[in-house]
Amino acid sequence: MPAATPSPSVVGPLLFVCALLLGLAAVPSFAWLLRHALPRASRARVDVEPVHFGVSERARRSPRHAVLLHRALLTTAFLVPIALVLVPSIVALRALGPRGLQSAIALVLPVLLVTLHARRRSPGS
Amino acid sequence: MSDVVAAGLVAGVWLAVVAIALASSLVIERRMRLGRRLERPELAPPRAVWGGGIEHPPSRYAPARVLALLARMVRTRTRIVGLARPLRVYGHVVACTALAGGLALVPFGGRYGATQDGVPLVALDLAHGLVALAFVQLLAAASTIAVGLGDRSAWSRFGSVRIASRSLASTGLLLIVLAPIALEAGSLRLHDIVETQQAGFTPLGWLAAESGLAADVLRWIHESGRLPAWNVFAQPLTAVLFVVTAALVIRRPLAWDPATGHVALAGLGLDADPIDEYWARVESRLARLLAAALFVSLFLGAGAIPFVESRTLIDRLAPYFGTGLPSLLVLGLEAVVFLAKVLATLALLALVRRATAVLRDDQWIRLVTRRLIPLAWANLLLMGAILLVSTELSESARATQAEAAESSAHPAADASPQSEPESATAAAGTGGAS
Repeated sequence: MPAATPSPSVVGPLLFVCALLLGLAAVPSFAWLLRHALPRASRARVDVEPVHFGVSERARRSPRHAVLLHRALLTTAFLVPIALVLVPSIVALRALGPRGLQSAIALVLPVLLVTLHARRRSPGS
Repeated sequence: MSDVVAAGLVAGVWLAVVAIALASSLVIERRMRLGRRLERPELAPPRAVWGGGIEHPPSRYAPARVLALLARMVRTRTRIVGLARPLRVYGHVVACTALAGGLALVPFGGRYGATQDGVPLVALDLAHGLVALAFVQLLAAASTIAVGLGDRSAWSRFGSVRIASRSLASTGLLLIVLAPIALEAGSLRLHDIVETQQAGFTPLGWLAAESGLAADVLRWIHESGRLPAWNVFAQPLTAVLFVVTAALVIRRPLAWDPATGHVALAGLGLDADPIDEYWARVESRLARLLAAALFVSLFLGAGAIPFVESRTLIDRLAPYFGTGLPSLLVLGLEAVVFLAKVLATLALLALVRRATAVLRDDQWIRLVTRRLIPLAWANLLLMGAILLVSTELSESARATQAEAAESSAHPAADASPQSEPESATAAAGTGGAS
C-alpha cells in the first residue's frame, strides 16, 4: 500500500477549476456581449407567465404554501443526514483512517440484521 | 522540474482531457439519439426523396448548432413574472463549481516520471478523496434541487422533488458501493486506489505460494494469463453496482433532455430562458463526465496501459533523451489512454441508456432499497471476508516460506547450539577422567 502523505497543492486545482468554469462561461459571456451591442429596445426582456398545465384556476394558481412546506421538508431532509452522518463520519475517518470503516460496519451490521429480522413481511412478498 | 510547475502541467493536461471529453460527449449523445434502431424501424430518420440517403436535420454540423445556440441566447431572454432569480443563479454556480471540483479530484494516472517521489497525476490530491467526492455529489444535488425550486412552475418543483428522492437514495448507495474499494486499497485517497491497480492481478495468489501440484498449475495459469489489477477484474460486482448507482446519480429530469430528445412533463427548465437551459445541460454533462471519469479511475486503472509499465518505457528511452522528455511523453500517453477509456465508457453508458427502459422514480427507489442496497451490503461483506482470508493465508504462507528458507540457509547454525553442551560434557568427562 502506498504510504506517501499527499501534500495538496493549491495551484493545480485552482487553475483547473477556474479555467474549466471560464471555458464553460465563454459561450454565454459572448452572447451577453453581443446582446449588449444591440439597441436597448431590441434587448428588452420579455415578461412571461410561469408554465402551467391545465386551464382551471387551480392549475394556474401557484401552490405557494405547499412549496414553502416542500422547501422546509427538503432542507430538513438534507441537513439532518449531513448533521447525523457526514460530520461525525468525517471526524471519525480523520481520527481512525480506513479502520473507521471497519468500526462503522461493526456498528451498522447488527442493526441491519435486527431490522431485517424484525420487519413485517407483507403476504405477497 | 519544481512541484508548482509540475502541478500546473498536470492541471493543464487534465483540463485538456476534460475539454475534449466534454466535446466528444456531445457527439456521442447526438449519435446515440439519431442512430438507427434495427428493432424500431419506424423511428428511423426520414430518407431523402432523391438518392435515398438519410435526410439529416438542418443542424447536422456541430458549428451550425453552436451558432444556433448562440443566436438563441442573444435573441430573446425571458423574465418570469414575480420570480426572484438569485436562487436559480446560485444553484447553477454552486452545482457547476462542485462538479468541476469533483473532476479535479479524479486521478488520471500514476506519478509523473513513474517514480515513487514523482508528482501524482491528479489536480487535487486529498487524503480523504472519497469522502470529498460524496460531499461534492451531495452539494451538486442540493444545488440542482435549488434550481428546480427557483422555477415558478409547479412542474419544475416536482422535478426537484424527483432529484431529491434520487439523491437521498443514491448517496447512501454510492458510499456502500465504494467502501470495498477503500477497504482493498487501505486508503480513502483516490490516487492510492489508482496505484493499487498498477500491478498484476493474481486471483487466489496465496494458493500459488503453497507447494504441490495444484499450486504449480495455479502458478502456470497466473503466468500465462495475467490480468491487469484493475478493480473491474478484481471486484466485478462492485463495478456493476457502481454503474447502476452512477446511472441513478447522473440522470437529471430536465424539461428538454438532449440525450433522449424528449420533453418531460415534470423537469427543470420549464421556466428557463436559453442561458438557464445552457447551464442546466452543462451541469448534467459535467455529472455524466464525472461518473465516467470516476469509473475509469476506480475500476479501469486510470491511464495505465495493459501489460506495459510506464517505468519500463522511460527506462528504455532514457539513454537517448534523458528522463525529462520521456516523462513528458509518458504523461501525454497516459492522458490519451485515459481519454480513450473515458470515451469508450461514455459510449457504453449511452448504449446502456438507450437499451434500457426509463424507470419511474418510485421504481428506482424500490429497486435501490429492496435490491441494490442489500446487494451492496453483501458485496461489502464478501469483499471484507475475502480480504481477511487472503491476508491471513498469504501471511501464513510467507511465514512458512521464510522459515523454510532460514532452515535451509543455516543448517550448521541450527546444529551448533545442540553440539555445544555435548562438547562441554565431553570435555568435563575427559577432564574428570584425567
